[in-house]
Amino acid sequence: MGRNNISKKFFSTVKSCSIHIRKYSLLLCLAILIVLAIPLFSDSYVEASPAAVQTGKAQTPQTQNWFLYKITEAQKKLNKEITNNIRAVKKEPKPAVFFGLLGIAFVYGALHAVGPGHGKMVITGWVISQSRKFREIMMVSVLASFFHAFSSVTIVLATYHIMGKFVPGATEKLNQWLQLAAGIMLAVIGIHILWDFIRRRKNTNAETAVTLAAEAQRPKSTHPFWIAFSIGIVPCPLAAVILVFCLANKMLWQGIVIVSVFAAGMGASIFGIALSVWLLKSKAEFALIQGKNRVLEGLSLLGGLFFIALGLLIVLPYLSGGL
Amino acid sequence: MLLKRNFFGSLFFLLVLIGGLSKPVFAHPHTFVDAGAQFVFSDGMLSEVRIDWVFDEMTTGALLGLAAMEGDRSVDVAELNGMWGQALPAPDQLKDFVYIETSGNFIGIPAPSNVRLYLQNGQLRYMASFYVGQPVNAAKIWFLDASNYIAFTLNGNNISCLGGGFTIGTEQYIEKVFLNS
Repeated sequence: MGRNNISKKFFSTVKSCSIHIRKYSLLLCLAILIVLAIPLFSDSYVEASPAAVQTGKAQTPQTQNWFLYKITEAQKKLNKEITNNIRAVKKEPKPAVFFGLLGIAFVYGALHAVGPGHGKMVITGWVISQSRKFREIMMVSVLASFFHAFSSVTIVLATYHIMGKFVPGATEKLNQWLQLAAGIMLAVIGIHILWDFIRRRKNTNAETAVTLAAEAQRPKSTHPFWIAFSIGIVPCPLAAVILVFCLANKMLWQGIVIVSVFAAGMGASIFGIALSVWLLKSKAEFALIQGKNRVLEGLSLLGGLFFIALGLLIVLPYLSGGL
Repeated sequence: MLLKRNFFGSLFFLLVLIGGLSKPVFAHPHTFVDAGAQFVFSDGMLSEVRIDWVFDEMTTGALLGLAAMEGDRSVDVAELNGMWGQALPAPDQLKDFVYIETSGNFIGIPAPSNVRLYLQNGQLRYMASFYVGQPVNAAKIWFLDASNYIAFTLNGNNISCLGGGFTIGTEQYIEKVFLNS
């Protein structure tokens, strides 16, 4: 009874927060545009390879813009701060010092996730193409971050147990396999969404399109767990480095707590972005006067194609170049 | 009301369009290097580039474990077998991180020689020499990881030029050394 009351209170608090957030949705929309537009103004990192540019007239490879440059600078400072604080905790294991370290870890995780990667495109594509509830968005964001961080923890601890030390060469090979698995998973999710779309189209005729409630027709094919898992299966190298550094300082449980808080920071950033997309989509759905169902179905189709394309983008280089 | 609805609808589809047009960017820095270097000019030629990279303490600690805490010493290349990878490039991969541009073209970087590693104040120091041997009046030199796993920051206190002059600046958000003979 007590637990039910607590969870009811938690969700009603979250719901009332979302109502307040809706009031500021325009600002959130602008924030999404900035974050998602960043890669548009950065050349692909692959193009920066000297082998690619040394064959003739060279163009200076641009790999970042102002935002990414500042994010990198800030991460460098946080990296130094977290190192100093880990040493401080080792020297002086006081709660105040430890909680200070956790605060820095949270901020570092949040900032780290704002940079490229961490499944923001995947979550955005999923939110746009599917009709999901607020708590499902939250669940995916948090789960994805924890899977991402704790897949690293699992690999590091297993490596230590088997080999007695951290071996980056071996773990990087494993990471490549996991990245391949993530790509395959994304492609399968895309095929599932596409299949669902085709099945719905077959089952819909002129009558049902008019009479059935829009809610029942909304695309909702992929369970949130698989989205979170496809993102999180690829380990976070930074979480691994933090944990290994703590292990080197004989701070096992502290390392696990720090990585957990770091993951919470990443989750907060990813959730913020996913929530913004979700709110914006809600507004746009409301804004559509005619053909709403058709648009939603169209987004579902695009979502399926997007996931297939993203999965292939990850998988194909491995197929051509090998692991 | 209609205008507000259309505005949000348009904004939403603009978002989808931007998201769809965004190029994939897969990596972000996990290792931070303070990059120093010495450039040697001789008879109007850039004869040698000597790099002096200092890795962050967390990466050093993760790579060398307790050994990183045991005081300053030199590190044998063999000691790092199994450690080479994205966080710590192997000696034969170092040239992929060095860019030398002159008159709009890149100079080919040879394999490094005289590779040495040290532990100093809990940080790994990676030094190597590249014998370039190219006639150069002016050049831009920078260090870059194409995968963005390593983020390089130029350490102005550890950059020098023998037989020429230099300045440090930023071009397209990448820190570069601008050399002249």
